[in-house]
Amino acid sequence: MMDILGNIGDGFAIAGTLTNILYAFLGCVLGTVIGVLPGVGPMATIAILMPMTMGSDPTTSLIMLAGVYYGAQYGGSTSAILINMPGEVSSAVTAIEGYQMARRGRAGAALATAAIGSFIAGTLATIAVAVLSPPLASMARSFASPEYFALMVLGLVMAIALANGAPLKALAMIVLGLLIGMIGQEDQTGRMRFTMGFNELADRTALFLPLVIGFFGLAEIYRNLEGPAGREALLRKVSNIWPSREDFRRMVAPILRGTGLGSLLGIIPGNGPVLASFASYSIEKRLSKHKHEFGNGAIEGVAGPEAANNAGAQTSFVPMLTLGIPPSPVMALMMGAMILNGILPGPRVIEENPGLFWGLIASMWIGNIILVILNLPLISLWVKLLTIPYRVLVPAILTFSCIGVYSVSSNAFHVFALAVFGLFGYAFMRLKCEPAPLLLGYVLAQPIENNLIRSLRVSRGDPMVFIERPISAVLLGIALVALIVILLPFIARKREKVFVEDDA
Amino acid sequence: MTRNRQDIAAGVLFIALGLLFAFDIWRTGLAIGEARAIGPAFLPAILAGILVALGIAVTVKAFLTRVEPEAKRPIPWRGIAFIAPLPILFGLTIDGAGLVLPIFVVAFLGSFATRDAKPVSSLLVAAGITVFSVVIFHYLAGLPQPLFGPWFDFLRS
Repeated sequence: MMDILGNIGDGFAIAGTLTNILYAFLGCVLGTVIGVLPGVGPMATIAILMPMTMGSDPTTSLIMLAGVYYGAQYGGSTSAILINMPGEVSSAVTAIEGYQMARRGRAGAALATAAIGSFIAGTLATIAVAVLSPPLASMARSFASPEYFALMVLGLVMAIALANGAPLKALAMIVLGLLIGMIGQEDQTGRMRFTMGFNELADRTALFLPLVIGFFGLAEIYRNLEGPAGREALLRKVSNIWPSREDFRRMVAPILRGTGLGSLLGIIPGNGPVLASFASYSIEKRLSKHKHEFGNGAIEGVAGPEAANNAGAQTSFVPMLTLGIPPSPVMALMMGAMILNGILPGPRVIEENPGLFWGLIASMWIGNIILVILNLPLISLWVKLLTIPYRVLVPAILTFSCIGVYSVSSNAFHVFALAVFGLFGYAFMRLKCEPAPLLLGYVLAQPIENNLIRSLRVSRGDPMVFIERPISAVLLGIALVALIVILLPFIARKREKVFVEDDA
Repeated sequence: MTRNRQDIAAGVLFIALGLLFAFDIWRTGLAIGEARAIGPAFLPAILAGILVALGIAVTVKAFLTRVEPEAKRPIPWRGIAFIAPLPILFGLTIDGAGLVLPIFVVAFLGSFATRDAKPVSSLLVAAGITVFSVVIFHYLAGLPQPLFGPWFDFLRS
């Protein structure tokens, strides 16, 4: 325990330098500004802003990016509550009760509840991250290649389990992501694969930014342009921000329950934060003494899911930082950013880069404070951002995307790749193929291949190595069972459908 | 009930992409190797195979099942026509023209992706975006590109 306190102290010494606080602040502000824009979710926000965080040293860069992430989440809740346009699935839950509260003139209280819930959850979850990470990392340090390979396979399978939509298509997207991740110079032999003669593709991380900004930035613009040009602006004046004493009394328990739920589910691969906010909503609905208010603006329905979401967002860093397995799409983005910064996430990060690790954790808490300070008094400023019309929003996002991609590589080729990925991303969106599993596959492609190669080399080509080692056997077993469970309903449904047609 | 065209298209796309990767392995003669010492094409070849198989599965499943017809979402042709070429334009001009001009042109033309854009207000918006981007990327983030590139050298003599 003293160790952890000491480590957190060191972390604060790093995160608390003027530069890092400044960058955390800048990240929070930019994240909130972009995240609050209607139709721009955290994934798009982080993807678009990621290039701006590059260029400083890795710790500062990641602290800023983490700030962008928290800011984007706060911003997303704001647009969910005020105009019922959640930028992502997890704030869709907040929108249910939050928007109803706003319609009843209680927008201020709803926003404050979301902010307070997120802050408390963020604080407690930061402690959870600090306590959980070291033992997990030291356990993982006993892992060899076969275990890593198995762990990554499990992480990918879990990603399908909780992707909404057809599991077969999600699986195909993961495989496609893995294949795209193979583009470039192969590690073992140095041979080029799938580069079609373009030297720009040799570096296997080169496509990361064009890919994420194309898939999550440009594709998102195309989707937004599907709708009618004018959005109805249902903005009300936000007044009376401070919740009443009764409100405070009612939000405490949901926030604590949501925090527990979120902290737990955030660690599990498969987009825990989203799952946690849904779970928290249904639990609060069941436990509430004011059941009739649910659907009409129950404050518990804002406090619980927001806390769960934020706690999950925090603890989802644990598997990414300690095992190198991103449990959610956002963490896949963060992992990509770390790799671009020259740090491969995994159990060795804590030992080799303790400054980065503990600094990042401390900055989580600092970021949460910045956001509360930023959000509550400045709410009316964010509200104004919601009225930005598409004819300003669209060119702005487009321009930032182009400069962003170019600024990191200084190579026009990657901007061309951005155009291509934007169209592909939108095509997949139209075909209801989720881009998140593809991203996960892309990020894990290189580590999964290297661990496979290493395992087979040590075992002299005997694939039994994955089954003979107990930990990897168990992990692969879980992955197999999960895969069968995911695909079974599909098989059953298909049979059912076929039979129905035969009868007709 | 109607045929699931989305899934048929998705399945065909997966098959095509899988074959594309497989073709490139064959074209470049990458070694698949053996289990003892797997070659650079080992995992990609397996993955391409799986992708084709999944594509077939998605397509077959789509042919066997019927879905409720969904509300048609229009394809934003105007938006695509205005936005898709702009990164290309940006890439072609950025090295020669420097930051300011490509940013301004992309922002100006990009605003016409929306139907309610008007020339004068778009000029103002583009100017605003240009100033904002230059401040953030050039002055704050320290992007090394000049504001006006070699194409403007004739003005400097």
